[in-house]
Amino acid sequence: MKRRTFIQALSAAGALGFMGPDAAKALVPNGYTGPLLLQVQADGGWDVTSYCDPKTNQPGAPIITNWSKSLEPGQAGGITYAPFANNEWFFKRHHQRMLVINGIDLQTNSHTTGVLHNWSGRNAEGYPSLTALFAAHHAPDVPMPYINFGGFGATENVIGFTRLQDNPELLKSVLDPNLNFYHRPNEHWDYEGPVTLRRNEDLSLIQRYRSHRQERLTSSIPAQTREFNNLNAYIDAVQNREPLRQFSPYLPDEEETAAPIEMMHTNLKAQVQIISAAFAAGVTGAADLQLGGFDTHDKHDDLHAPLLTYLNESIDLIWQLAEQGGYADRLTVVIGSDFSRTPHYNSQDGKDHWPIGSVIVMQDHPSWGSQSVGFTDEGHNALRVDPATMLKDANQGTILYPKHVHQTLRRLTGLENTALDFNFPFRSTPVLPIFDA
Amino acid sequence: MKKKCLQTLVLTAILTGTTSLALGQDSFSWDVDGDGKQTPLTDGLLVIRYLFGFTGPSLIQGAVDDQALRQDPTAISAYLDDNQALLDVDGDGKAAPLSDGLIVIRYLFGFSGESLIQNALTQNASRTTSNLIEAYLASHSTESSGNGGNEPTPQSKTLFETDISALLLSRCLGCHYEGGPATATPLRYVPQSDPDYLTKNYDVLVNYITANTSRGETLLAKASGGTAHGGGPVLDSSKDEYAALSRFVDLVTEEKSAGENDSEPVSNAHTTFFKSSKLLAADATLRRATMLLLGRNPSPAERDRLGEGASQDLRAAIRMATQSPEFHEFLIRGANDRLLTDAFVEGIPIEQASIEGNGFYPLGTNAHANAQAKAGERFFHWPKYNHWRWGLARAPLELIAHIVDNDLDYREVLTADYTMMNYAVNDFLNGGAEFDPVDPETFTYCQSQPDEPCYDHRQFKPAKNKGQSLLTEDLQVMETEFQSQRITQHADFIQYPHAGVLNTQAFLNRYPSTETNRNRARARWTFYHFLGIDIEKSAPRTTDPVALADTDNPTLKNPACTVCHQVLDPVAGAFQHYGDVGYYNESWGGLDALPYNYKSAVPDPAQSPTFIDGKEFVVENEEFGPVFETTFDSPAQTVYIRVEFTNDYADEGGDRNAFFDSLSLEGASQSLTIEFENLPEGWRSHGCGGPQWQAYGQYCQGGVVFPVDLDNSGEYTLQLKLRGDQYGGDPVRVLVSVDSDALGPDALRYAEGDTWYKDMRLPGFLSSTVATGEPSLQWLADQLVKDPWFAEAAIKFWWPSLMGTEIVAAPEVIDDEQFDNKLALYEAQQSYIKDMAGQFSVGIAGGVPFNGRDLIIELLVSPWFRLIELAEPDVAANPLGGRRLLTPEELEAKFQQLSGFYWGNANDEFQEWHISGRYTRLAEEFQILYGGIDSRNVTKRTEQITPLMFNIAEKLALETACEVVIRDFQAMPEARRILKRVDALTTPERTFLARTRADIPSSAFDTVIEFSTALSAGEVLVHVSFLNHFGDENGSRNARFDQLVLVAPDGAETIIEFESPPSGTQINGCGHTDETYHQLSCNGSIEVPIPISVSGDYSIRLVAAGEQYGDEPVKVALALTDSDSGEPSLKAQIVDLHHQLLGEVLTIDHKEIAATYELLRDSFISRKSDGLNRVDEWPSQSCPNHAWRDTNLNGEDPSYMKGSWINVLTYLMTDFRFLHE
Repeated sequence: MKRRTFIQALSAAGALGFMGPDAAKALVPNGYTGPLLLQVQADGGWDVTSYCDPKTNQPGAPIITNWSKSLEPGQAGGITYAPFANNEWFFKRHHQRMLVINGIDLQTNSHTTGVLHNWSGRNAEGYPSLTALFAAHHAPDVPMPYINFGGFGATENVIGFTRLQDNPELLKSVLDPNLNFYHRPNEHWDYEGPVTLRRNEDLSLIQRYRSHRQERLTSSIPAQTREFNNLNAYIDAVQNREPLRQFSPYLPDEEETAAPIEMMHTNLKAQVQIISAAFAAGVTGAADLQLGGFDTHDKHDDLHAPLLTYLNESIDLIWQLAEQGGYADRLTVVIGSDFSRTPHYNSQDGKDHWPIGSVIVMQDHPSWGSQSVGFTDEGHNALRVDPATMLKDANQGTILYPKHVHQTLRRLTGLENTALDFNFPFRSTPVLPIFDA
Repeated sequence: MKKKCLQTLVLTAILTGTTSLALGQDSFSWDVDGDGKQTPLTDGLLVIRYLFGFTGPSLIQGAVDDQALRQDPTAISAYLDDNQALLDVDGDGKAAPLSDGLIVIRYLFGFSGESLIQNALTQNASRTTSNLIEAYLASHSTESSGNGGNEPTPQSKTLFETDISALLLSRCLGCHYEGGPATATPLRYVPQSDPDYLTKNYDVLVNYITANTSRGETLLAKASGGTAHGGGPVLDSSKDEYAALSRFVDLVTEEKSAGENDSEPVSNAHTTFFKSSKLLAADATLRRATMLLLGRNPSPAERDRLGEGASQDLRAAIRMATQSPEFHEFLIRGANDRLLTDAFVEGIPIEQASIEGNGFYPLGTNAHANAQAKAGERFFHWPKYNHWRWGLARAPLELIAHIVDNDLDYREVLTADYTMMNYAVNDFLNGGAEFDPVDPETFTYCQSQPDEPCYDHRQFKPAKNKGQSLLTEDLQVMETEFQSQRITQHADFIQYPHAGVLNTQAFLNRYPSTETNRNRARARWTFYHFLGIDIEKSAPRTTDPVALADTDNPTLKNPACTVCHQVLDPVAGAFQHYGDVGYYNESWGGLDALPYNYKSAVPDPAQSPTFIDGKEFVVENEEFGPVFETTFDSPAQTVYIRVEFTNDYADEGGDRNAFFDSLSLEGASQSLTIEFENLPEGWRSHGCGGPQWQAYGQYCQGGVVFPVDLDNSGEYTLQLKLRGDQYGGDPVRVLVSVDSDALGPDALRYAEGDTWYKDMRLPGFLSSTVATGEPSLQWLADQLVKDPWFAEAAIKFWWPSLMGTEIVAAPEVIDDEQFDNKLALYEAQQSYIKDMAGQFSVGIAGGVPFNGRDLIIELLVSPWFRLIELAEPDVAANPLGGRRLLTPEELEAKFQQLSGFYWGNANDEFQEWHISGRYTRLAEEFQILYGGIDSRNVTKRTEQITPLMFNIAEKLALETACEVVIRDFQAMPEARRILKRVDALTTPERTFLARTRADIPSSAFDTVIEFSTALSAGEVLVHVSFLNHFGDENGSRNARFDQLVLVAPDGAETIIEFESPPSGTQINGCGHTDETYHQLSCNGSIEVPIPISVSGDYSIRLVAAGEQYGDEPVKVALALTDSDSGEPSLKAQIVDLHHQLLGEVLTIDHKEIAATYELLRDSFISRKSDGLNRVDEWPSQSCPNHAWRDTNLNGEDPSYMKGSWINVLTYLMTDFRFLHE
């Protein structure tokens, strides 16, 4: 049966209207139905003063944002945003799902360290991403527990990650390896049944012998060797792949797939479509999406405006598809970047690296929605907050660091006090009441 | 186990340095934290941080041993403050991080000799030799570190000075000097005229002897004329002089051994790390090496060379393997994994490749214009343009591969005075290399461009860029009718100052610069790739926002920034001649590569040391009217007032300009007014502008400076009348300043002849600065290769591609799980790298210095490559050893070597639009999904297989195993790739006896195929097969069988007519029976049972004819089987397969062989039971990989064994050990 191939008219955001899986096919049999995590990595260092921590020009100070020459920051619920790119549309549309955490000190202006710090919670090597921890705890046995599109993806051996690329057709071609992909049923063929490469009887026979072989290898290879570790990964791969066969129908058809945009480094919308299909199908639990290009050392405004617009459209698409897929109430979205950009322009109209950043956390109908925590001053310096109230406290307060964000995100996502949490502790770090509003 | 936090390890390792400056306190030692030991990563780190100005927690973070006496930063600082003078190691009068600090950290790491002081001595140093430095360092040492220190002079040194040195000078120096006849050996001495000749020559000889255990014997043998000594005998083995040399060798060996026993754990950690561990045997090591390098098992010659597996034979066998052409592909892959320049063949445009109106490349530009004219259109298909792009993109990788593959000095990676060019680059850059034309039939682009010479764009040769020009007034262009340009005149071609990889277009373009980046990315990656130092990663420093907000040139002045930039920026400066995308001296005029904005910028007057005061005015008025005012204090003196327009802007719609009307100055007793159209004597101007009627017009950035004599000391008020032509969004800005010096900030202003920014550090490297006018990148390359870290970086460069994982990073947090084990692993790896780097520098195992092939071989024979299991379990070591996941490229190479073809691309199919001419499914289509890299967005390989990746591996097997089996069985046994021990008719139930094949060229039954064989009593099956059916709308090729005759040993004949075969005959395949024959109209077979009553020699004759069609005659086969089980042959074949595909060496009775045989047998039974006498019955079975090939593959499977072998091959090709090597 040919899957419907209509394309919805472009949404208000301009996003391609891929509708997600049919409601009648909500999940593959025994698919994953637990909590979901999606982290969107804006690579290169986004400018939050033109986004969720707006800053306006001050007399006697260098120009901090060109947009504030003529505009004032906007307000969406409890969130103040910069009226730049399509931010107004985005924040007004999604502020109730959103908590903005501003004034996070990444303690570096190095990309490598910024990425490491923001996504692992530590500026030293050795900790996995929140995505990896989440997948290892909530969804270790699904076919693709942790999907990564090329951004930060340290796992520290708590789980393996599956590398995908933004091409649904290519992905489909290997979800059921025995399908002869050159002879898929379509309007040019009378025969609508599957055309396979080998008989299922033969494959079953091979799999039976393969299983026995794996048992023999497991018992003969010394533990705590690379060979043993890799064998375990191999056995997991063989055993957990079955649901992938049923994943294909949920992926967008070629004509439904968002087209790449020329100046974008990556097709984030296609990544969203693929991950949304994987969430709906129940074959993954967590994923990192990636959009590069934010390292705007020159022509900052010219480059940042379309990037933020595209990022906003992509996040909107995440929620459109989550609603259509029926899993919006299980989804947490975290959006962040290496760090932010200087509170002034350089001689090439660019902005260089600045260690104070922001993170946006989204859920559907959260109690903490439409709020902002953490503070920066007019020069975008981080201000201290009272760890009990999250109010400004210049004297006794603490600077927000990624470890604080990760500590509270672990609680929010059900990782607190788990074995993984204990294995990768943030010592002497309180759980701040970031989400307790 | 030591516990140390090693944050900021690598950079600080370079920077870290030394000792304190106590005021001559005898108790001072390098044990800064007082833990009883002096180690580079605690004490050294503290010293270097101290010298860089660190204080407080940042001084000690991760650098104090938990057993230390001094753990508090205040105590550390106080200790170093008290001993600050002693930190001046080189004796130049001051303690500095990049000279004294660098020397100390090297010393504590164990460096000695030239390696200790390379690039670290300042011009004013009073201790100028390594001997003096080592002696000084040792005088404050608590223990023996490096070769220096307060150790007694080694006996070998004494003997050297008394006896050996004279021998060297008189007998050896004649050939063994730099550039001399024996310069290829590491034994190169300096003459007595060198003030440090004793130490230098001693070091050379000791380094040679200690490089490995056989060197001493080699030295003695050569000295007496043996071992092919080019200089013949120079010492008489019966004389005292030979005995002295022999004694010297013994002493050196003993001292080295003693030193090893005493050395600290860091320096020999790798020798104990693998103690009692299980390592791969030599033959398995050879196989793993050839599989990873070449994608294949060792050849018979390579196995023969391995002999009994002695280590020197293993090296020799691997060396032989590296002579294979596939090694070049490995080198390209491995180099790209680091440099990632293949991003330019994976989609990123290489900006320097433009040849549309490009004045830098007149030859390419005009060739393009000519090609346009010939094509008659602007946009056209021009393969040579792709080849030019690809040639530029691949040049750095090809250079590295060329150097290693040709056993050139590895230092040429940076110092080569040539680049690698393919024919297109050679043409456009006037390279002068000669290329041989190739067969146009193979290269489709030659057919589409028949008038152009036909060359293989994948062939690279060394050549020099003699076709690049500069943009000067000599450049003249002419518009073409295709909106392009032709260059009719240009400046002379430059002699491009090649510096190996560093100034290839791809390297420069892969790390582009900007006006604010100023080549720092290039410097960062230069450090990373060629010194093994990741500066960015080494700087997870706490960044003070106040410091980062600092706009007063923080990279030069702010300690929060200078910690890195002091190291980074001089190297960035060495790239001074290369612009943002990498063009050489790209500025108009060709004198430099500095951006216009910098050249035209108004310098900050506050930077002037004689600055008095200043203010910027925002001039929003278009007419003179408002008064702009500022005040300043000054003594009575002549001051120089600057009025400068700072924000010029213009486009096609308008222009922003500034106009200065008048300036008034009011002091306590002085008042004056200056009209700008009539400036006082001595005024000067910058930028375009000048006096006009009643004002001064400034039309681009710049302004005027003029002197004013102040009569009295005190406060002055300065008032200005200004206006602006407003345009472009911002108001006009005018900067007014007062300075007591006529030149003031002009020292910071660009001047013609400058090639680097005045507000940055001078181009250089560490403590050295490149001389003005010297080619700075070539100079840098020379410095880099002399640095001791260069050799280490080479090991780090190749490590991931050989080991399948990165060198481990230092653990940073003491409380982390497995910290001790991680630290032990880290130290063992660092120890090994250092040791191997030393050998690489002087020549590995008696070889020449810096031989890349030797290095790769040595890594492959090391325990790091051969580890099976550590003696003591160590989770941290899990990334080590064998059975790592093959990359997509490696798996493809393995599959190709196995099958003879590629998945998704026919061998003879040339894909013009792809650089390799080949677009395969595994290495291209599934490159990312199978965990590979695209060198752009995805740059780190996946190290463990995932469900999706297994699916891809299985799809490879499912789509190709069918073709592999059919192709093999169609080939003669000796030509087969894997199924050499069995026939398709060998089954668990029958044994194959004999087979012959023949052409049937005639349409009449006049062809007789005959052969003889011994048969045992019982029943045989005669298999008659038609092998090459062909048909189209015009005809068909068929086989006709008339008669089969079996001649018994006694001459009796059994005659079988095919039109009436005996009972039990089975016909597989389509056809029909005529009156006198049976015709097979498609590939198939006829199996005729014949009882054999008497054992003996039989003769069999087949009479056949062919219905001829197509371009080849009918081909048939005649074979015999008997009813014995083929199990022995089948198992023997399976033993081969396990070895060939999985690397398992098993006996025929091994349980794995039994299991695989059972799979084969079960497959056979199942397929026979279901009557599956074809391997590709639609829709349940298909062999798609050959569907688009011309090859006529025979899918008939009357014995059910092709399908059964396909199952076995699928099983093996998806096995863990097929996918991991």
